[in-house]
Amino acid sequence: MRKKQTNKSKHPPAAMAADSPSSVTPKSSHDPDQHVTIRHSANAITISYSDPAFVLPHLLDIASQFAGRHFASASLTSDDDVLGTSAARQIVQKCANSDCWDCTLGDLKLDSNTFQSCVFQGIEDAGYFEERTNIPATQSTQLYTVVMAIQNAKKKV
Amino acid sequence: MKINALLLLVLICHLSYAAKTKVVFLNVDPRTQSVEVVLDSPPQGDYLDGSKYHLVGINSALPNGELHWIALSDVQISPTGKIVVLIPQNPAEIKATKQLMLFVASEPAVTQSKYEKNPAKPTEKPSKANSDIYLNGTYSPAINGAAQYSIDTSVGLLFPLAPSSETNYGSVGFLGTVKSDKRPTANPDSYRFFGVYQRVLNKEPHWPLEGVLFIGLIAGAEFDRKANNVNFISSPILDFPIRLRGEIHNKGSLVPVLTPELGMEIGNNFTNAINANGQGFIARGLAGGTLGIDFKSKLAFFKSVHLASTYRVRIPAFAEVYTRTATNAAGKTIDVPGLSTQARHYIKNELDFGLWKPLSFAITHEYGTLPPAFRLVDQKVSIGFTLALQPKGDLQGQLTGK
Repeated sequence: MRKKQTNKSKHPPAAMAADSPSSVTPKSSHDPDQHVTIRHSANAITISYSDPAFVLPHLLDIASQFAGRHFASASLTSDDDVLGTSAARQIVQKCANSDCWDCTLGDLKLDSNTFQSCVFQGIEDAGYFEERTNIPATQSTQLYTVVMAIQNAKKKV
Repeated sequence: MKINALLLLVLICHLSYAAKTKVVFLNVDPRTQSVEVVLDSPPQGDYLDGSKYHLVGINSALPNGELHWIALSDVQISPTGKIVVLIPQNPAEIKATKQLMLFVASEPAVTQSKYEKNPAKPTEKPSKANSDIYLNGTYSPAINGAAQYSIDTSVGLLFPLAPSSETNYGSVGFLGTVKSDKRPTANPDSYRFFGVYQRVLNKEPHWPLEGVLFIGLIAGAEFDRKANNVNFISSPILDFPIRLRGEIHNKGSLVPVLTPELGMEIGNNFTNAINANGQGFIARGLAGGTLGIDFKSKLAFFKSVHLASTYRVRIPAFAEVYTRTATNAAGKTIDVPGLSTQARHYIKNELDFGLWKPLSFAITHEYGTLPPAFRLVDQKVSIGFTLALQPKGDLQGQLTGK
């Protein structure tokens, strides 16, 4: 019941709109459905609520107003110098013959040495390089952690 | 009737909860700064609705970071896949974050730090060396004689060659095994020590064949307790691990693995129980395989059940010693050595009940002979404890099983 009341789907659009510098939250706001009141003064923000579960969306909105100016706003171009997640995922999936990403190598009965060599070779064939010892391949290694470990492999020069 | 309906309702609620989709990883693509949401199963319910996905960035890995809603330009959902891709309107916002918080509809938020190349606290630190330690202490109940105690120990260690190189040169290391004999006390009987070179020969798997593994046991020594059998041996072996299951989509699947092996052992016999000057050059063909299956345990105290069956045959090209054992008039076990080229079979079945990793309770059955003395173990059933450690990396018995 409590989860239902904190349904985020109602709030994010408003929160995202509030990201722009021009849409600063008014000095005082009140949500009659969720019994949350926010008051801004010169050096303080006062939040009153009837249930802590209602507060989180408002906290995020407020934090976004402050954080917005601290986040980079420059545009970013694709970084072709690294392997990337999609290619890393394909290599790992092929070497494990599995898309059970939270499975460990032990769950999948994969030979650690053979799997590590396969991933190493897959990165090489894609034109990138990662040190063999940087490719995790113990029996407790989860498949997706291998993706995360190799997605930053550098392009071969 | 009402109680039945209530039970049915409880069961349905339980099943719907059990089948609930869960987020298992949240990861940023370093190339595009899109965010991959990895699910444990294909998306269901709210997870199929792109408008229900909301992302918050936190600009610090520490608890006092500032929160920031991240606007999404697209949410790519495949109904049959387990990956949902969130495309940000401004990729630079993702690049600036240290942690991500994901909200899907009314589900509890999922927070994950961005994976860094060299994080201060890595989630998975790869091992520089692979080691493999197997220690098995058993008790064999007496049937027609004294009870037997034995201890088998194997230690293998491998280091990758030139790990920074763009070429996979394989790994080098060593293997040592000590096996006790059938005597009433657990005195070590046979020793084997080898240098090891190991390399994966295939570039990619050809399922169900996972790969071809070359294991070279180099310039090793085999000798028994009385040192009346001393061999110098080198042994090239090929392992072919075959996973007897297709593509795996879910945890908990039963995955049998069959690993056939082919090889040979060549070297020199310096001395043996029959000929003090030894047999000279020796050569044996080697063939066999291992079948391993893990079962989920429903037994109290046992976390897992592992069945491993190994068969190996050595076929000498030249006559080698073969040792039978007998009980003399005084009731002592004595060796009865002979020379022959007969095939030397060895079978070992081991049923392990996992107590806590890496210790297990083991029931073992053995039959056959092992070098160097090829002393016959005749249908020996024993119970005991097995300690299988992989303190650095995992070799899964690749070496200690040799």
